[in-house]
Amino acid sequence: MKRVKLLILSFIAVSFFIACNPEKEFDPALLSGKWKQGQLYEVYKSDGTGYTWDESDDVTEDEAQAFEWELNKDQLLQIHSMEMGGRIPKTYTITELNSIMLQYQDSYGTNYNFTKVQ
Amino acid sequence: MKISTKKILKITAISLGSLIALLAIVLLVVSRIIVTPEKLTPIVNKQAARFLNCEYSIGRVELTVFSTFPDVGVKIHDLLLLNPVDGSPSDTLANIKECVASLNIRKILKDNTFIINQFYLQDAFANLFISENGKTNFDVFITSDSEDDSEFTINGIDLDKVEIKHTKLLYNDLQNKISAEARDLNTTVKGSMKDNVIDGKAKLNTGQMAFTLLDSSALNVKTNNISLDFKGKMSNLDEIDGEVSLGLSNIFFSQQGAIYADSIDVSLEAPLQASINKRSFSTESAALKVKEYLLKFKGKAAYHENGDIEMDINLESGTWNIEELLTIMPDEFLYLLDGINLTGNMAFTGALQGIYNDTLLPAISVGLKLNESTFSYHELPYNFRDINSEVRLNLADDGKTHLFIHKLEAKTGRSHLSVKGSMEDLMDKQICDIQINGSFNLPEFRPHLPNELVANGNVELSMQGIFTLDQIQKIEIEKIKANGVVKMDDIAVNYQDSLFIRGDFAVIDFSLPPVNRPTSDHILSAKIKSGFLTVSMVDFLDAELKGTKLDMAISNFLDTTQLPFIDCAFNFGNLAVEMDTLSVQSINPSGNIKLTPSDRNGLNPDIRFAFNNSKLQLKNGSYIQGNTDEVTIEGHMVYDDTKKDIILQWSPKLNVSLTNALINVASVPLPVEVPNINFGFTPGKLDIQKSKIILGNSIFNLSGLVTDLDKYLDKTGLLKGNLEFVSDYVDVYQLMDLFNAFGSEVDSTEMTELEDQTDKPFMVPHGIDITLKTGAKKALFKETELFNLIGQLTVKDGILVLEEMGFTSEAAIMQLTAMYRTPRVNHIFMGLDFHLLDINIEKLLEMIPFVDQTIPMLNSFAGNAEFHFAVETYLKSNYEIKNSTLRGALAISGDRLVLLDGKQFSEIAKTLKFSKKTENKIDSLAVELTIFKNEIDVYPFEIAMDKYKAVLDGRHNFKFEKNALGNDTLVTRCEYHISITDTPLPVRLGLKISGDLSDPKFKLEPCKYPHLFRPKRQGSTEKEVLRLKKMISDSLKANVKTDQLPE
Repeated sequence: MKRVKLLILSFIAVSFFIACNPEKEFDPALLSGKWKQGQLYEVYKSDGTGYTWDESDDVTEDEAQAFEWELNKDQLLQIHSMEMGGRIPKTYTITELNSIMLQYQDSYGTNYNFTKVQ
Repeated sequence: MKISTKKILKITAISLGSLIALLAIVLLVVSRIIVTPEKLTPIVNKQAARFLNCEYSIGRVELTVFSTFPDVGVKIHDLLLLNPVDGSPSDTLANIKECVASLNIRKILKDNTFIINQFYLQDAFANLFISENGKTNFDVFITSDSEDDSEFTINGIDLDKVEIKHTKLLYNDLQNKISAEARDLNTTVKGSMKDNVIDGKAKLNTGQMAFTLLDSSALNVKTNNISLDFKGKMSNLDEIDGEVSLGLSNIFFSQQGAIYADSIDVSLEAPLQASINKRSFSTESAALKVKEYLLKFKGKAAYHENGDIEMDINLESGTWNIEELLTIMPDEFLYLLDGINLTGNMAFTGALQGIYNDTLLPAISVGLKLNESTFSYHELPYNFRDINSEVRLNLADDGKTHLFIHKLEAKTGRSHLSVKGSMEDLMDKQICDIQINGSFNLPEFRPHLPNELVANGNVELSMQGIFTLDQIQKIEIEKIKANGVVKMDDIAVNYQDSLFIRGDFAVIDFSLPPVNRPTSDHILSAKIKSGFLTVSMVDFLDAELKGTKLDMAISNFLDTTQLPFIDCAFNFGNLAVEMDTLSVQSINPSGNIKLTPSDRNGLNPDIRFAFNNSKLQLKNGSYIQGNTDEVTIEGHMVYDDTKKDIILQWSPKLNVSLTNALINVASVPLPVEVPNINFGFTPGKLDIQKSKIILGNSIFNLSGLVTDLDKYLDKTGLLKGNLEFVSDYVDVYQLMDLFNAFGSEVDSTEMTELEDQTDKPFMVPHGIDITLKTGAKKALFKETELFNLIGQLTVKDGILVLEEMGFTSEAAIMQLTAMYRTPRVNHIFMGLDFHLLDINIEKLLEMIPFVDQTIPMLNSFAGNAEFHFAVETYLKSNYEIKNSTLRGALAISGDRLVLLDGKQFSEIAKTLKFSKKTENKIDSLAVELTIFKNEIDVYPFEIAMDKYKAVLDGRHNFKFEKNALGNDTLVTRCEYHISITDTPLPVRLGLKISGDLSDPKFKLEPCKYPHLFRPKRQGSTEKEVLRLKKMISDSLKANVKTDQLPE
């Protein structure tokens, strides 16, 4: 019984913590530009479009794949449009965004750390 | 006639007359005063001074009465005339030992007629000389124009006999450079003159006689004896009618030191009619004999005042033995026959008719016959025998020479030649009208062939032609008229041991110009027929032809300004050709080909042809092998040398019909059967009217248009195509496997991009835009049968698109769109848009194992679902996926599914406290997932089952890792979550499933989505999740063309 109480208390505590975790808000203008992580590049344009490529796969900027993006507070939504017609949403939580750094992670804990190229 | 000659004649006539007058005077003196020689001689000497202006002496003069009775004669002894002239070989003009003349005294006394009955002269010597300035030594008789000088009138001369014996005559004419000498001249003249008609006969016989021209010609004629007999009449001292017999023995003739005759006997027997005034003669039948060679002639000739010589003479030889004739040919001419051996018999005829003067020649006709002759020449490798010829050479009075070959036959070895015809205007236009027949044994002509050429066999030729030698020399074929037949038997030709031609027979029937000329440009036609013919060119070509028939016409092929016009109909019984690894065999090929110079450039060919055969076999090494039944091709090609690509250079326009073809191509593992195909081809268009093709298990009809090939080759436009593919049955997977080898070659500049140099990715050709509309009633894809395939395949400028291919199977109604693009060799795009409506999940997983790998939980469901899937990625040259470019989305929805009771479900049920009694039926299912790089995200979906509802989501990661052996292996890890949202239990639990899918770990965790599918309790997060789910689903379903799906 004691274990059940502890479990309930822990659940309440965690829930409270999560509920009270304040959402950050980032300026979308800071996102514009070319970002680089290793050989992976992402380019965000101010019109809500962008493109990405990975040179480790022998892909050049001219061959980059396009996406649309939305930034709502700290929620970054990339919608990758396929030539074959499908749309692929990818949602990330930005943890750091400034003029030289972009960090975000997905809901499965995968982190991305980009630095501004230009 | 030169003045000196006239002068000589005049002086001679005067001298003769004066001599006779002298004798008459003597007789007159004698007749009036009978005197003794002692009295008479001084008187005569004294009186002679009246007639002679040179020094002279008369030894004795006496009258003879009895020896000349009844006439009175005068005999003169030792008459000497001296008249020295510078240059003359002697001062003596004449020295006459004895001279007798008898006069008819009665006629003198009674009729005052002066008649000499006899004249006798013996042992005389005469030296006639003309100096270079024309002064003579025989102009010694004093002449007077006054008729009163004589008291007598010579009214007639009746020569009973004139006889000259043993006389020597010298004649030297330095002015005309003539020297002549006659020794032992004996002449007898006997005749009478009455009414101005002299009837008599004369004989002349000399010893040696010589005649020399002292000019540069150095003409020298000698004879040991001249024998001349004449019998006839002379009227009015003009017209002569008689018979002449002339004999010359041991004639020697030389000129400029060259001996043309030596020891030759010549005789002439001729009736003769002549006129001195008219300077003409004629003979009816003269026979001239040079040694034993007889030459008959007849005719007449006249020398006119204006210098014309008019003649009409016919000659005819006997039959002469050529070898014997050549023995008398002058050495000066024999050199012409050096190396020539000529035997046999010959005869000739000749005729001269017309005027000869400085500008005209009479018409001359010479005929030559050769019988049974042989001929050889040391530089000719042939000995001709059985030569029989009959030719005639005519020199017409218009100056033109014509040669007529009535017959010319010859044999050599096993060959023979026969020629007939004529050659007109031999010296100018040389117009030949020739008929040639012959049989030639080719080995005998090897010496005349190039050393590299060895020919065996027999050739028979029969031809006739009309042409000029100039046309032959200039090879003006268009002006030559000829036709004939050439037959060749057992022909074997070897050229440089590199070209071999063999044939049993060949017949060439040619005509120049063509008999039925197709156009005015054609100048030669030929019909060629051969039996069995083989042509072998070492290391290049072997050909075998049977039953060849060619009917061709050709224009002037020597005209270098343009190509010839060729019109050829051909027909072969069998044609087999092997070139390197290529071999072609055609049964009964026939057709025609027309070649003309193209309109734009006469040196470029314009070719029209038609071809058909009953069977054709083709093999190119191990690359391709095929055979067909009937093939029909009609074509038109015009060569344009300004173009670079061979197709554009020839610009072919073809209509092809082919039946029952079977083709094996090395790169295609299955034979291609073509029961029939009809297509037209131009660089601008390939028009497949109909075709039926069997390829492996597939049977299909292909038709439609491919256009703009010319623009494609010229790099000015896309190759466009619109084809229709209709089939009752297609083995899709087999076809895909077959065509995997097709595509563009990797550009050499891109080789460095290859992941591995052995990579050969399929590169979609650029510059083409081809659409293949497909319609297949039944198709097999691996083990799945598809029905009613409808859609189209498009290849456009480097992009291959399988567009909205709809079909049905026992598992589903399907629609597939696929794209394959090759922007560069190491960056290949591949995308699929695949829709399965009402698909059986088990069949789906069987058809597309990838779905089972990406949604492993799906194999826990049974029933029918709707499946929408799109995926795209770029590939490396080895077709390895570039993970960073992988994108995909999938939506599956279904109702009344069954959750299979598997091991994993039992584990989940146990963990989540599912009731054992619970039925595994699921009311509905709607799953959306995305693929991004190596992340497969399953968006939350709800499973409703009996009293339970659960929400499931998660991520599935995959990547290839090297195993211990260094091979790529797929490593999958998952992190799934199940939220129990409706349960009889008081607690809503969550379950985390993680780790390797083959052995996942299960762990309870908080329920993540308690309100996701409870609209009243949804927050912004839940709404956003559902919005994204809908976005994914809608974007996929938007591509479904329900109106194009098969029913």
